[in-house]
Amino acid sequence: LIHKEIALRAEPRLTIRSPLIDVARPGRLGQRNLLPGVFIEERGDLVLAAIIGRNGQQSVLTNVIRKCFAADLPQTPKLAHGNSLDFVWTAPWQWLVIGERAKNRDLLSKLRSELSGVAAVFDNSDARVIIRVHGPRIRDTLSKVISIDLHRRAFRTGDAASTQAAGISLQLWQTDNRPAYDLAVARSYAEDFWERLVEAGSEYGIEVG
Amino acid sequence: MAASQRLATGGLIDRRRTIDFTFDSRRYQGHPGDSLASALIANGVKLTGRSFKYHRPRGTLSAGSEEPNALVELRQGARREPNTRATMIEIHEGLVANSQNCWPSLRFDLGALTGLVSPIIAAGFYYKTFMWPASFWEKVYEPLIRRAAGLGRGADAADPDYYEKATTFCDVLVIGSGPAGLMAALASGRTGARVILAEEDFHLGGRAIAERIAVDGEPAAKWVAAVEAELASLPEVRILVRTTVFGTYDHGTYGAVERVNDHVVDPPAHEPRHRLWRIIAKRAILAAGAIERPLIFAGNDRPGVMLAGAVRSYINRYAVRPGRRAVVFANNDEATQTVVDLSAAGIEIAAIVDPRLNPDPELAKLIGSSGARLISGGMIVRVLGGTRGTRNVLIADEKKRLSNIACDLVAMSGGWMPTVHLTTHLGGRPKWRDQIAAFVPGILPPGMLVAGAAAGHFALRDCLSGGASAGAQAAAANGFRNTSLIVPSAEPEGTNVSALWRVPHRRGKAFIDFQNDVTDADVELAEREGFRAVEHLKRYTTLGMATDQGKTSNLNGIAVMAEITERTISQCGTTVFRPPFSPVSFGALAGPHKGKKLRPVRRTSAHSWAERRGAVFLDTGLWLRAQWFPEPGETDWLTSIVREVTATRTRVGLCDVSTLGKFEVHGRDAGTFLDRIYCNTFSTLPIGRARYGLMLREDGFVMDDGTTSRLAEHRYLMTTTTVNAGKVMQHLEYCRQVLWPKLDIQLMAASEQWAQFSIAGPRSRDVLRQVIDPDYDISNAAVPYLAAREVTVCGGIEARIFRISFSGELAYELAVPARYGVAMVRALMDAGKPWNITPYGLEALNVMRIEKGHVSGGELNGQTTARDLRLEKMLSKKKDFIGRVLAGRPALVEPDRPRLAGFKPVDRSDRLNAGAHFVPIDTVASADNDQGYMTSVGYSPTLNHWIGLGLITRGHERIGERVRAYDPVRNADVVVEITDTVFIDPQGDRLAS
Repeated sequence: LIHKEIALRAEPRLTIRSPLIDVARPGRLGQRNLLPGVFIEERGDLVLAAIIGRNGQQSVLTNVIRKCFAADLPQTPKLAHGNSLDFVWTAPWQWLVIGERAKNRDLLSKLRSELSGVAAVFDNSDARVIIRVHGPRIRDTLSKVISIDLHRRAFRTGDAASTQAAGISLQLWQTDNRPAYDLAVARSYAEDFWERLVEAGSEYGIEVG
Repeated sequence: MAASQRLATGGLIDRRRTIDFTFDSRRYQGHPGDSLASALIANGVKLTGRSFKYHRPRGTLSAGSEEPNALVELRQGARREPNTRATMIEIHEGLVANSQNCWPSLRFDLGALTGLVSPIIAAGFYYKTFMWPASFWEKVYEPLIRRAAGLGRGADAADPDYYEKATTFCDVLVIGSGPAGLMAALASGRTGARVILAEEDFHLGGRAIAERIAVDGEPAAKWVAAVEAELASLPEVRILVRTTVFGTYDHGTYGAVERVNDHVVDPPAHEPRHRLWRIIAKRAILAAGAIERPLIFAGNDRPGVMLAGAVRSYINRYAVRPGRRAVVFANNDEATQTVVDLSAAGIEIAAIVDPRLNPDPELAKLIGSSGARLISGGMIVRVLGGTRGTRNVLIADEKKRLSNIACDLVAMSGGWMPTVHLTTHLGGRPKWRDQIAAFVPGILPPGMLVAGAAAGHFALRDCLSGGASAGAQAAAANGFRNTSLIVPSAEPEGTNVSALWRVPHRRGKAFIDFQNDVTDADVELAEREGFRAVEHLKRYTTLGMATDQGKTSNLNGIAVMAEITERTISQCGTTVFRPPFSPVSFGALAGPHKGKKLRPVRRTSAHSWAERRGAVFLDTGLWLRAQWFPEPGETDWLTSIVREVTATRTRVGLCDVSTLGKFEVHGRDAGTFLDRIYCNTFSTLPIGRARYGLMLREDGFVMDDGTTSRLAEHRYLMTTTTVNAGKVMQHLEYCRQVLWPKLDIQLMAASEQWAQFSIAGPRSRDVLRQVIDPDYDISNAAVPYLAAREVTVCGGIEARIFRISFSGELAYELAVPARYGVAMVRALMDAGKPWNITPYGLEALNVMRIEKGHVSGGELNGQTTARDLRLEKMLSKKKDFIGRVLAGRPALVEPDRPRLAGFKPVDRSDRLNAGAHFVPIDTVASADNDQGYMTSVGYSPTLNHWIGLGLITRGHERIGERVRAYDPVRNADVVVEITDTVFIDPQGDRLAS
């Protein structure tokens, strides 16, 4: 009911604010004598939902997602694409659903109605910040931040992992073969994480998008 | 000053460029490619330092990381670093180094007087001498000894440089880039395997660039360059120079330190000085080579006495002349090569002393008509010299006839010891091998292979073939095959050695451990006093300790002990090593995690708002939380807090409570799950209601508390304390996944999703009314005390309100999605203007909860039960729950246990202190009379005096009684009256208004 009401109302009076607003200013950081080795930007205005399958409903869940969103839910740490949505495996029978807000304004209510009795759906749009990173020195940069092997033979496009960086829980997945990665961190840690990422990449030169 | 001892040609130095550097305030010149040691030798500097204990003049012994003598203070000011090895310092423009352990100067050192009293400061001297009186140790003896001894001075300011850590992975890690390491890297690299080649030096090649040898008929340095070029061209091979692999750890993990910018004065912007590598390798090949042993004879520490291999390094690699007239003293075939190299460098050979009766026949041929003496079956019995270096040596021939030969260089070799250190870090013990008179690796760490000299195969051809086969084998183990790698050819060479350890002598000191000034006499003393085991020997004499960890001395120490005790070396024992192989800077170990970056920082979504309001922040766990919000003119915290509490109690206050842990608990069995987690019941909680809950640990003590609301039939929202949020999450996941996997529960941490604000005080409803959308009725009847509602605010933004109160006032908590946090708090501040809404921090919150007798961190300290906190009525008798059985243990229900009570000072002007212990009035403040302690205190502006909560024996039965609150830490002793825990509004009228 509440969600329908929201749709009917005028634009809300409160402005939104990214936790990275004070640090993620577009421009160059670190070494400036070379072409940037690392590109980083916050992926803004996403809808994020966590879904957790209910006991005994796993196969139903898989079918519903395939039918409604044209995605095969991965059963290992991987990323699956659906209609304008991505599904990232996060734990057994748990996924993070990611979509651009512009294309998915009603995502949560749609998930809740399609998955009623099948899975619990939680709004995570505010809980996590997703940072898109790429560039010729991105693996060198990430090797100072996390302890996951991102070599092309070990980690490919579509692979995902849960790990930690200097005590900050982190999920990441490879989005393409450049390679580019999405790094998802909890909102309260985002500024601190950003600073550590910038510190790690500064010797290669950073372009903030 | 011209470099007088530089050879005209040769060496891996760049003669086109000169580099200026300073040693002990004198300026010198060297070339790129020089080490500090080689540049000093080039300039004729033989004296580089003073020894640790006797302050004996010392020069450079080696040409590598094993150097025990030539330790210098590098750089100046905040970057000053003591005990850096001149042999490992790459010369660079602006380099400043100073000798250490000497005063007033290196050449004239007063500390050398200790040498005169050396007979009484042998091993164990400190233990025996400075024992009485015991109290003198800390205040008198230790500072004195530390001033006299010590190894250099640390910097006296914070290190300005940046250090970092990184993790990398590979199929094959090759440790060392000598002939064996290069072949291993090539053999594995050509298969396409991921290879890391780590070399501690700044130049690849190991002994291949230090010896005058040929590979495939070409000078070895040329071969090294070709291999390096090929390795650099292979996309999966990474070469790390200036990188020491210092430790072997479990599961193929290796620690390494890369000295990224030790060869410049100031690291370039954005670059670290050191980088600590964690290398996770499926296979590792140890090709770390071998370390040459000194021989033990009187005066073997004099400047000018050098390891023969180092002499060859200085001549061949650095093109410097370490002396003008040399005596070679070696027990092995490498004497031959040394003689060849000395001659080629134009150094006169005075004598060749070989303790073997049948030395390498090549030697006699080499000497020919040069006039040098070959003394087979002979020994150097004493070296004479001083600060100006070696003057002459006394040599005994096979018939013990002495001759005195003038020379300024002694090239000695006692044979080579494989660098087995990394094979022992996981417990493997080296094995003795008589043929080479050295230890070789024993049981290897999983995944490790050893090649070349590190395995005891010293000949070049064995190094080349051993490296190639280890490389191919390591790659194949990871599924990478290929390539017919042709092993390059090398000349055959003699590697015979006969074990000679020490030369019998009567006068002078014969050193085993140069860095710790341990002589053979110290080993004899240790043996006499019963310290015969190798480990005891080490502790008693300090043999093998300090920065070089006995790289040149351990085996000699064991050998002398074996000789004295008439045992074999195998019987005597072996040494194992711990990481690190060579010193690693603390900066590298800490990496960027120092100061405020030690731990991550968590900020609430409204943090920037609080910052702009001038909040004083407190680290609570990882969170930064506003402690109070000083107004202009307020200088003391109590004033601010009194204002914040008064405003909240009389009008309305606002507090960011986003840090409280929040968990969504969904599922058909959510009620059942919560009934088991909490000691009270939640399955009966009506939808739209909140309830205070208490959870116990399995052992019956209280774990955490908080309110949990039921938002729908199968949808609860749990809150926890800020500090326990992570622990509770682990507990809930453990219960869900392990204890009751059949329950239908979906658990999601929700702390990050929501910004949550407490709006408290008599006008809180008026404020809330302004922001909550008009469709929602929030009157007292519609949203009574302990109601929980999903609403919208500010034009349709989803929100939740909970009518719960920690302050005891009419109060609400309002939650909105975190992206609106700042805007929401601003909207609330605007809405509250008519009532002068006042933001308050943790301190005011704490005062108000003490006034209401609510428990918090001080009471929920892991040592209290529900009964101790007088919450025993919450323990359900109708259901089972975690902690129920063990909470009934006799000791936990014992009537005399301290229980929660309130306290106020009898003299109302007295201040209370948390941590004060309660003792009855007119008794001694002793542990016997201890009845409990104060857990929380605060100044109550409502009552105008300090109040406290505490745990005291039978507290609830003693209301009105007076006790002492005794606080020896803060020197306080206050008479307090025991009161009820609730100081204001005991009926709770304000909550319900």
